[in-house]
Amino acid sequence: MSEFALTVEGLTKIFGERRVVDGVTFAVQAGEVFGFLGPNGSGKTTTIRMALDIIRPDGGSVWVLGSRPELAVLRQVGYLPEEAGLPAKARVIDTIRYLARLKGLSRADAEVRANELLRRVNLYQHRLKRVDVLSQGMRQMIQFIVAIVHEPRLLILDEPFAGLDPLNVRLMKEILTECRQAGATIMFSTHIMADVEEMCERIALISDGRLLLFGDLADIRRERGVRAVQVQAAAVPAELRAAPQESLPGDVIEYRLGGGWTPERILGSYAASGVAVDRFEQVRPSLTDIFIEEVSRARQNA
Amino acid sequence: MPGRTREAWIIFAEELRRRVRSRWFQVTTAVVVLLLVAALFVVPPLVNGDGGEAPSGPDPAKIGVVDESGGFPALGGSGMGARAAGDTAAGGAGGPRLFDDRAQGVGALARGDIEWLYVVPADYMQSGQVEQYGEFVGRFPSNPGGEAVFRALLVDALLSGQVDPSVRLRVLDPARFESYRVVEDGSVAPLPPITETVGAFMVPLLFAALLGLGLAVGAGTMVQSMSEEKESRLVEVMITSVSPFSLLAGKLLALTVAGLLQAAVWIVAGALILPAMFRRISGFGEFGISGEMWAIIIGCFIAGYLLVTTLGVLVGAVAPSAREAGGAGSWVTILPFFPIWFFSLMMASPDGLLSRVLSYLPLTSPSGILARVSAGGEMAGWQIALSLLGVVALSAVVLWVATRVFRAAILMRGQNATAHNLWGAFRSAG
Repeated sequence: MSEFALTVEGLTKIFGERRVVDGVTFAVQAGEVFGFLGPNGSGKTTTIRMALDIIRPDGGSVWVLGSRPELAVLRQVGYLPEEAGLPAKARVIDTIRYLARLKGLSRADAEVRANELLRRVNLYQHRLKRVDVLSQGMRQMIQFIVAIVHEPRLLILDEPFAGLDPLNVRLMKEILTECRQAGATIMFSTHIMADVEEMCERIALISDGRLLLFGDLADIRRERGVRAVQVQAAAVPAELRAAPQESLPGDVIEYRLGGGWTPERILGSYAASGVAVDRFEQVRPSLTDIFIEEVSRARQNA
Repeated sequence: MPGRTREAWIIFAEELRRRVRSRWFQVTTAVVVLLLVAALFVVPPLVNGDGGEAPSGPDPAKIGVVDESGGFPALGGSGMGARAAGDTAAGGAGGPRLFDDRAQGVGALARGDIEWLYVVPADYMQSGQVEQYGEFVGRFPSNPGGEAVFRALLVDALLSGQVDPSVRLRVLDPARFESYRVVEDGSVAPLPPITETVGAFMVPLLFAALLGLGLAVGAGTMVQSMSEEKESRLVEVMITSVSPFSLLAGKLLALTVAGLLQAAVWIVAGALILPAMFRRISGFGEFGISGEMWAIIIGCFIAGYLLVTTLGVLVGAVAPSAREAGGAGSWVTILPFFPIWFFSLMMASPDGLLSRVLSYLPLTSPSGILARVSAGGEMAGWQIALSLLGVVALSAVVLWVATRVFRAAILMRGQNATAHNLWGAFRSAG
């Protein structure tokens, strides 16, 4: 088994005069949950489509599960497109069964899996309804079932949580965790940074078709250093009243670092003044901060 | 089952199930059957007339006559005309009603007692002119039926007592034709009975019209299905599972089979209803459709559905949106109707250039063959087979092109449709 479930090297796509994807290189390790981030129109969906051989790149190469993205390999991939891709007038159960069979399941297995997953996402009672009478969130869950019904080795999900209520987001995350535990590799794109921080070990960030960041999420945050410290204490030492700070709920003060203010100096001030410290925490930049910073910088440099 | 065959089979089964379950399919299938059933009850009375006899003009009792010439006493006195009781008009039972003057006749016409009034002027024997009064409805008013009846009455009255009764009978009914056909080798054979002639004309024409209708519906459905699927993200999910060829071949077969199922219902209904309808028409007798004719009909339906559905695939693959596909698709739906539109010209020259073009050109030949046979054209079995083989061959080529175009259209998403981009996508679509 290949170490990487998906590898893209120098992937390039040109629409007219515009390089929609420009030499993007990253790899998704087998068995991991990988976040694929980028602002609107950054080339995420185009990259995903090239990875699945829906459109062909103008440059670069793609490897899926260790092979070129041919049908035999792509049948082991589950894909959830950004917009629902379901036959509007067909019944829910027929749609899932049909698309599952095209992925290689027998009629009986497709039936069993479809019903099992419909029960799992609480849509079993809607199985005989037409797809176009369902709500957007329900359609998204049906699309999700279609993506996972054949127990794929690699799951590629384009904005999977869009249009879902918090309960369904939680349910989808639970199922994704189960898929991962069963050995599947998961790559998903999203705008919701909290989802990435919660689920992903590694990420790739692209903007205007170019790769800005790629790697371990914890490393990326660590590389950006500590920006502030949060201290929970009963009082503020006199020395620290001049430090740049912000009061947070629960008697927490966040001190921004720099200008001579270091974590050691702040903690030392509390110790010197005899104020008991309940909690002292170094604050690294959030993924949202990193996202905004990186994309803004890339756009300024462009 | 090999991979591609299995994929195509799954798509075929699903598409066929969806198509047969669709309301539009069920309605169009039922409507034609209902129309045939309606024809069973409506056509025979229309052809037979109310009394079940062939129509022969207005009832003589509904004709009024004013004889100013005084030269036609037999109109009123020979049993063909007599004075009516209760008014000043006269007329015999079943014959025309005689009036003393024009005013009385026009009055009777206005009251609806008679339908037509003829005034024979005093100088009739010199001028031959007769005045005719009536409602004369319609854009091009005429009364050939009434005129024929009155002309026969006049001839009868003119000859009455003048010639031998047998001569009078022959003047009124001078010839009953028995026709024989002389063929090229000089042999003589009677013309086929009217049942056979009308059957040979009507059956293929009726099925050509049904084929045109079925093909129009089938092509429209295919174009819509293809363009909608291409426009939605469904196609992205599909082509990560199946090859474009399997996808299109499955859809094509499903819609062709659905169309043929629909046609089979129509054909069975026609086979049951048409003979019953003709039995109810006076003087028509037994009516049957030969095995050879059935073979031609079935062959034309299969080839026609195959080609038109394939063209629908191509249009759906080429068109960038469902709306534009609808416009382009209308051309595909029109093609099968060409032979119907030009049928009068084909009738005039069943084996002429137009008839031959329409029955050999693959785009029109399925309905063209039926129309030509209906018009009386002579096509040998091998000619029909060759023509239909051309249809099947063209279908295969169109499917191959459609598959590449379909894949190329997906590959080209987001790109301008320049010749360079199109060619590049077409080449890499294999």
